[in-house]
Amino acid sequence: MTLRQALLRDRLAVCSLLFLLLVLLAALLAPWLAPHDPLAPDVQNKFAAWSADHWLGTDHLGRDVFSRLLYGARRTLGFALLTTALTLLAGILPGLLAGVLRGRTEALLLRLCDILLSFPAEVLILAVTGMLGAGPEKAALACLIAKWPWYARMMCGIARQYADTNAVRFARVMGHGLPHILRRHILPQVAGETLVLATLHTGSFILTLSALSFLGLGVQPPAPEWGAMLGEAKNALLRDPWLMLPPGAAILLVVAACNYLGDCLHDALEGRCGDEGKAVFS
Amino acid sequence: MTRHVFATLTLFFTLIALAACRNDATSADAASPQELRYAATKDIRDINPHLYTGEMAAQAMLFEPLVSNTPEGIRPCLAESWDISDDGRIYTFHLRRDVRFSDGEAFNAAAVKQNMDAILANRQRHAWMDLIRKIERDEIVDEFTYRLYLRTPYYPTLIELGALRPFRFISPRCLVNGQSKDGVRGYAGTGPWLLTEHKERQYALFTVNPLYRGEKPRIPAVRWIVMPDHQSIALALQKGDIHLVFGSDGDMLQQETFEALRRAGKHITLLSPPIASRALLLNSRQPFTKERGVRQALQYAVNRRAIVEGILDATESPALTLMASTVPYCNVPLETRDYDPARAAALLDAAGWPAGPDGLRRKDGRAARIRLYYNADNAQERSISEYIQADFKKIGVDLRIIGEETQAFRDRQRSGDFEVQYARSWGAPYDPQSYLSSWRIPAHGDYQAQAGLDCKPWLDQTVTAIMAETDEARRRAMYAEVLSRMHEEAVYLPLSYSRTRAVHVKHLHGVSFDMSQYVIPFEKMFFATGD
Repeated sequence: MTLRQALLRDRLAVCSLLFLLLVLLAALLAPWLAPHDPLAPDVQNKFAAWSADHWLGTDHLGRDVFSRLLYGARRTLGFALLTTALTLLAGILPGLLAGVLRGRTEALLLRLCDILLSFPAEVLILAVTGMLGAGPEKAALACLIAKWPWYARMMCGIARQYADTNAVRFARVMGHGLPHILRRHILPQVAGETLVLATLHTGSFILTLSALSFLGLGVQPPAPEWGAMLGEAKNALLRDPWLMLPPGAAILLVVAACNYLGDCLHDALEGRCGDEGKAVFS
Repeated sequence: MTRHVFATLTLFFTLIALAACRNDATSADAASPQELRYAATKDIRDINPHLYTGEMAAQAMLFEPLVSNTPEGIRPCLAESWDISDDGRIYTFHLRRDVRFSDGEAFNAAAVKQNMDAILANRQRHAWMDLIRKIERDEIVDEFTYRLYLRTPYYPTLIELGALRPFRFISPRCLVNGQSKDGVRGYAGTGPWLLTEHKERQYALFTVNPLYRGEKPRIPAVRWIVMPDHQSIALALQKGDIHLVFGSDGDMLQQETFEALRRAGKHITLLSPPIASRALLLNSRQPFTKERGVRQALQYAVNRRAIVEGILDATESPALTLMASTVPYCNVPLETRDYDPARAAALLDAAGWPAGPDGLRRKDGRAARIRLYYNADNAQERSISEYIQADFKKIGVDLRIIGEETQAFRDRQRSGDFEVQYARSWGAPYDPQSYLSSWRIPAHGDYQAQAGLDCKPWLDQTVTAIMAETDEARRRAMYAEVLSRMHEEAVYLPLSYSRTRAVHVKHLHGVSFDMSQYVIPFEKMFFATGD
């Protein structure tokens, strides 16, 4: 059974995937879909209720919440995907190299990872943003610093596992160089596990950026971002409690979809590779 | 598995629904509680009356001045009466004879002198207040007569003696080697309250001072509860855990919360008369804002009425001049610059900043990009900033807004590394004299923003001269000259005149506002059932 077949069998996984694709599409088409300018204040019309003109009402400055949600999706998802991609790059390459080369390179990398992993990720992220200052680029860098050791360590383990297989030994005997071995024999093996971890981490990056923006350390006003919108809504908790619903629900649903998709991929993969796959995640 | 998820979710939402059904009425609603519970975002900290680390409202509960500032003018407090010499340099105070500090120590001329000496030993720290530099010496005339000698005449002497800090009196027994600058032993004052218990960052308990000479407060105790989060304060008030919230600006109570409570009608919401000025500083030393034409143009770009009515729900009044005309000496006719984006654009064109194809204005390759810093704790300033950002965008000026921690914000005032920053005057009784005096101190954002003006030396000299001017008419003319010149230079972009807000439970009575926005008149409050 291939990965795709296993995935398609789980209806909720398909729903999650479709939902994520839909949100991604909405984010890409935001300038055409948004009924209003997400930045234009209209204070005469603040805290408007849900209506045909303002589907999800307006915020404390009278800005259209639905439009802000769409533009916010661009920032939130774009940030999460970009950070995931960068973290993958930063983690996979050194991890694979260390796993294949072994020896001192591996020891050095693993000890560095141990040091970084000994801090809880949240503490590390807050410390880095505290030092660098507020802003989404800095939040991304902080996430990268906190999360790359996960990938490096995992990749190192997998690579070591496959480096001893007959296929790789044979390739060595055939005189193929390291790049060829990595590309042809190791990378395809780790692709599945990477995909699972990347899906799960995309969700956690969304949460991290939202939390940082909520605290005022991430995206700066007036740029719409889900966490920042939630933070703004919190200030009007008594005046208009419903304002927290759209950004809160958006974060909840997208992160839940990412997590569920990641879990399903994991299960599907496990079914495919049996105990081997399990060892990687336990 | 799916069924489990649904069961859990159903249970979760049922619990939430049940929690929401809880009745609001609880403990603090009891008819005549033994203590008034007041919530603040900040702890009272060290309330040494001669230093600036503590909360002013708490300092004012314990420590009294010689004379007090009231809307009717200067009134006696610890001094019964006073004489001023004809040359305006010698002030003689006749002290009350019936006053004791709460530790039993007698209040007399010796106690006043010991306090004054302790304050004068720390002149550097009080430099923001001009009086400190004017005092030449002081002496005890007899047990209840105290005399102050000034170097030059200084007209706001009595006003500044009545200010919240530092000229307030603590028992000489609390001074450490006659000094207060490195801390004090206990807080024995002459005011209506005693500090009986203080748990740092949790609460402070004030009880009635049994030795207080005047009418004693009717509430036996005030509990100052620290709740760092604005929303927790609002929820505690709704729940009935606290009786009173009191404060200016977005400090204790955000505008949205105040408005929600006012509409709900379960509490009494009060607004003081306009008390201080809220303005933006346009830095005359930074590129773009250093041009007077640009600063004047920006004045026309901001829709103050929309800010005041839309964002602030009309709880403040729009300001077209830095000082309200009701402030002493500030009723000066000035050309008003109300919202007129077309005029703003025209002025920017005239200043040589034409709009580019992307709408952004440029001059010699430099774009019209400026930064506005605000205190991140102040949700109101953030909303206003976002609104102004949109206003500036309309005339092709890109405003970046950056929220900073209180300390970083203050450091930035000191360094002058900003194009735009919030400025607030201190309100009565400090306005206008103490506020204008502070313009001459480099640690203030006002000084930094004015430092690029050609007329800055003249400004500083004139402010100094005003304070020494004994002739009322001439002083008035000099104030008018300074205010007109500053209006012309447009370093200040006035936004509104702010008010102090209070929200309290219905059975608390006697809640009123002091002349100063920093004082909470707890001693006038009392509980009573019915209306």
